[in-house]
Amino acid sequence: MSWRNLLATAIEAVQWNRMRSVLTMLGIVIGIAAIMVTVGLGEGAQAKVKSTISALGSNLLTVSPGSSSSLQGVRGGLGSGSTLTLSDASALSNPQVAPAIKSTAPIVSGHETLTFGSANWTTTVYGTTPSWLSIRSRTLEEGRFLESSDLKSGSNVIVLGAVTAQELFGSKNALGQSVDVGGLPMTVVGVLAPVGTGTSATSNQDDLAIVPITTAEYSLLGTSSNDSVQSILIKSTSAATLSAAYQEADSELLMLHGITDPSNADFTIASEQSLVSAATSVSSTLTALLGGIAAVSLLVGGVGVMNIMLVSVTERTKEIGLRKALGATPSVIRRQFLAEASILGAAGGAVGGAVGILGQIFLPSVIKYPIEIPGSVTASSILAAISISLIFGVYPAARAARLSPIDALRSE
Amino acid sequence: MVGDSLAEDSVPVLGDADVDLGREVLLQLVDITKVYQLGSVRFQALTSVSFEIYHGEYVAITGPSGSGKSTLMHLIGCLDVPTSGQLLIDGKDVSRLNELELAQIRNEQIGFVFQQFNLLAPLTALQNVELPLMYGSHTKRERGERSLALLERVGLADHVKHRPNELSGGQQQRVAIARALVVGPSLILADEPTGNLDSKNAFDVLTLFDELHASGRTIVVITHDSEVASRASRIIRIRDGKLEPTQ
Repeated sequence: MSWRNLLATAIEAVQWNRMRSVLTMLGIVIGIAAIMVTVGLGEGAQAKVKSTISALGSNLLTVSPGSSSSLQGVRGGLGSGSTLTLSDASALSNPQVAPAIKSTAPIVSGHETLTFGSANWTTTVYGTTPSWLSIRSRTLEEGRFLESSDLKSGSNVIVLGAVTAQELFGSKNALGQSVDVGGLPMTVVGVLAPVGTGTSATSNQDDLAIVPITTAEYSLLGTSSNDSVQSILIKSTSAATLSAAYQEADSELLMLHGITDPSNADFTIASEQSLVSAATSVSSTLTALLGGIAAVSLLVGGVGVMNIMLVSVTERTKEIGLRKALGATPSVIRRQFLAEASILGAAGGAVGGAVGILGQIFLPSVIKYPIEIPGSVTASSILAAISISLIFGVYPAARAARLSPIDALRSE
Repeated sequence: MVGDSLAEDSVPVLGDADVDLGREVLLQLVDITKVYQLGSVRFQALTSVSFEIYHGEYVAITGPSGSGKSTLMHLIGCLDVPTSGQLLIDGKDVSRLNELELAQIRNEQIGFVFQQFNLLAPLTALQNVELPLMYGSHTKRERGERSLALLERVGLADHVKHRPNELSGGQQQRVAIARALVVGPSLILADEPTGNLDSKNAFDVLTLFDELHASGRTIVVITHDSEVASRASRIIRIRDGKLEPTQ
């Protein structure tokens, strides 16, 4: 029997039991659509994380104390030590020492409760220098940012994020007002322009308060050593000099800390790129997990195909007997049932793919989350549907092929 | 009505069995024994059965139920192989063939007609008749032409596109006979062909067999109905798995 006749026969059988075929396909449809939408959600999340991190600031490196690469002995993890100092930051911003570095911003931070009148709001307070603004690619909504004179005198001035200002002052003007920060009165000199449109991923960029690092060190956050900082932000002169800036910062810090073996470094430099890949790896792990769960549902769909094919073989025993009496060989019978299984799989896969694509178009407006389904995922999902059905069709088809024509013809 | 349409006896498909009647042996059973082993129970269905059927003969195999006539039909139809003995079709021993070779013999040499008609419900009359040709190597055109000619021959030219549930029992059996004839088999093997038909339709089907016989076809009818058996030119009686001596 030719493949064309075989397919025609299989399509006829599938159409004849239309209701049953549709119900069988449903399992495959749900499995494929679930896989496509979860993978799409994962891809969408990754794209979103990438764009969010990119928005934090370009050409950015972050130096943290401690090292994540521990070779011998007990070493503090990333960020656990206090080996970075203010003088490290100022040494790195010297263009003679590091020509590829445009500017640096040392940072200390802590959580403090801000009080204005009866309103209070807990937020992250950062102590830093005036260069923070340009390194983070931020702008001011009103007022001014920190100035070097604020730093020298350790004056009690504060710049608020848009959300923080809103929470404390509502519609009132924040500029010039005095805010109590952990018992210390500070004057609001500026409010930052919001970065995001207020979605959850960017809102914390708008909920913060900035004070001069000197004020933070001496009066506010009370770090263990008055000279140490929690991290140093570095901005390279351009995207092309980012790796040069990395090299310069690395060798300069090694020299300043008197470390000869780079593997013993007591600091870690992370690029924006490594942040992206860390965040992406988290979301791709999540995607793999969800995709795995969806794949289980496809597997269940495959079991459904096997179930129905077994019922079909039992129900059509007489037909199988007749076909054998008319000259069908066992392999023709086997191929006929395999063809039926793969048609169910192909149709289920195609419908599931269509449902997935519809989900990609219509779901994001409902769940406010991007879904991006790559074409390769659609294609491989449909292939997976066909293969799953084929694999689960093997046993029922073998049973049909094994039937003895006499017993089969005699059955009612 | 069926008899009328069959009166014109000029369609070549039916007339191609050009044989010297009564001379050449088509089917030869030599000392055939069939034993079924059902668990620990041994059941001897046939014991030392030997007979010949000649080309162009119209033979009825009869016997009461449980006599072994169904077993005999399965062996002649190459649906099963004997436990011992030889079964020759056109001089070729088929009693030791494997499943694949048996399928080919069934496809090319045997035309089955069943009591239950056994038409496939999803297929039209034409597609049902074409079915045996699908398992051989025939072009689509060849399949269509041969099947159409046979449906015309059995008086169902107007019912080509009908499905079995749109046809009467008599019409269904005539489709089944067309299907049995379509590969041009050496032997028409009919198992109680009138068992599910009223007397009018039964008469029409038997008339059709007479016509086929007259045009040179070899027909074997398995039946317990003596009226059906009496239409054949020879009757083989079987009882308790053994041949009864011919009267």
